[in-house]
Amino acid sequence: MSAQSDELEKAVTRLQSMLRDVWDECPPDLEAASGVSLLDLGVDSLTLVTLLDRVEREFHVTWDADDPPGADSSLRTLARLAVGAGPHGVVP
Amino acid sequence: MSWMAHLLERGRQWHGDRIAVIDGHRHVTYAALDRRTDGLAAAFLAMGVEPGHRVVVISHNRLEVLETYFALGKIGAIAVPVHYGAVPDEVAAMVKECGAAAIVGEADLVRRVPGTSDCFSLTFGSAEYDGAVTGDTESSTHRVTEDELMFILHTSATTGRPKGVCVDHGSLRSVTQAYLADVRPDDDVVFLHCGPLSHGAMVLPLVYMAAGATVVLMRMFTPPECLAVIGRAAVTHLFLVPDMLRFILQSTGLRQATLTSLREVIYAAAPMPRPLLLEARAALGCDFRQVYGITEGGGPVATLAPSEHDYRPGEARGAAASVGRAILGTVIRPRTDTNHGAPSGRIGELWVYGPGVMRRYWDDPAATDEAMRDGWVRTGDLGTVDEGGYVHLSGRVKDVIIRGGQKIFPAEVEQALLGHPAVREVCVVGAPSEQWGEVPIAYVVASGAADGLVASLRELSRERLASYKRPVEYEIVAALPRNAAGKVTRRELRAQAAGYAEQLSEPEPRSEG
Repeated sequence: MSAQSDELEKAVTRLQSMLRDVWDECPPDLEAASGVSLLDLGVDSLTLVTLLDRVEREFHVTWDADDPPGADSSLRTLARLAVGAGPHGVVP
Repeated sequence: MSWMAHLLERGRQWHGDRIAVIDGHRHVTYAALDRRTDGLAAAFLAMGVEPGHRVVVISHNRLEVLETYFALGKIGAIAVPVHYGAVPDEVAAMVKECGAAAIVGEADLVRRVPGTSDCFSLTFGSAEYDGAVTGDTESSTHRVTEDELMFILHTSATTGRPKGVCVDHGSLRSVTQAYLADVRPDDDVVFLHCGPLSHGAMVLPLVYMAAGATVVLMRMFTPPECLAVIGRAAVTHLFLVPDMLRFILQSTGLRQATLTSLREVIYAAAPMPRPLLLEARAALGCDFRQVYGITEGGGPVATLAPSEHDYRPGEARGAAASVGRAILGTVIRPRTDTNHGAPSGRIGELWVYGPGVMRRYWDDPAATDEAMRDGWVRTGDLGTVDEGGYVHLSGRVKDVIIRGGQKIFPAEVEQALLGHPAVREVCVVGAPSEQWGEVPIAYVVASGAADGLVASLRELSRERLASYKRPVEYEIVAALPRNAAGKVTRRELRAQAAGYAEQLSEPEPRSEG
């Protein structure tokens, strides 16, 4: 596994953990659903807003203004954006 | 012709080429929207949906939701919007309660509702739906009178069991005409609706559509997408609740966002903390309008115009500290328990009278009797109306804390605590006390490090509040609990506060006069 994909998988794992923290209805089999859109997972608006806020803070990410994350994003999409955010995009 | 049908016919005639709805990459003109909803209305009739039938609509925000509302309105059927986050059993209960003839919405949400085999169903994006809206249907006018229902809107569960507010076409028409008469929006408004289209506040985009506005939708609100959409669609009017504004201001994308088109932020559903208003004004550089509304009142019942806001540092006073004045045709009065109008300046429960108020709760005469009297509808809010007609809120009727026989209005305590620079949000609730009946407890969200904050808040309370109003406990929390509509669920905090009851030991409250 390359360093880049390793970093990506770490970010996905971290985002799964974050989602569990902010969403009390989080499905138990989240690992299998990382590619599913947050909308299809059943995430509500408050959870989505809280999750994105945490991702911004922890990964110091600035979203692409032309293609921002939203309900159609998956955890994997968010992870890609997060680790591609520059030197601070390293998973702690 | 129903109000909803009239609204689109007029839109087609006056500005048929103007964009009525933007949903992602989809742009639909008024002419197209009228045509598409003619087709959908015909499809509903062909399915067996008849005038007066109830149709449950469950979906995230999207073009098809508005199309469904208009199509049902054209044939005199009643839309029953349900929040996408409702659990399947809740939706099933609503379907049963209103005797729904059909359920319409996003396929995943419609499919998971149990016990709806007796209902017709139509899912967005299906061949049946797309065929209906793109077919070549001849327009036909259906006789729908003003007093026929258009919506059954479920009110927030913060007050207990959800109830279905019955809104007729006459209510929508009168609220629209009154709001537009007072607000007088320009004819080039691009209105971004950040709330769910299942909530009572969805009346507002319908109101702006009557003025020829373009309504922009997002599936769900997120700050990055909201900022992107403002730039992409050249949004002029942004409708949201204050909490959404807070997240927008925190968003890292704010600095790069293109906000030059934004003229007005319209906020509703919760009080706007003063520091947030001032920060937002500085960051966004646009005007702010407050809308005070209740679902039972038909939507907006009062508004505070941008020119009536005070953006200078310090506390707002006078009109700027109010939620605005009643819209044309609507009367707001504080009433006491004896049902008389309270003298000016005296706090009472606010009641609303006007052509926009709900007709009744669906199939719940007891709840209707409790909420309505002689055409007046109670708001559940406490407040005053001053000489200029400005409505000042003091709290919710059920939020009042009675400590040793003295009433404490949480909004007053919360306002005082929000004066602390390290407080981002606060909610004060009553905890049962064997000694004093109830005592106030403050749940505080800090804006940064919370070291020493509790001691500092105790000091602030001592400075600003009479002793009996001072919270006996301060709990620093990461976030306040909220319902699907974004309102703080005080009930949840009250339950939490009840746990403190046995631990508490507070000094005897002294009356300040």
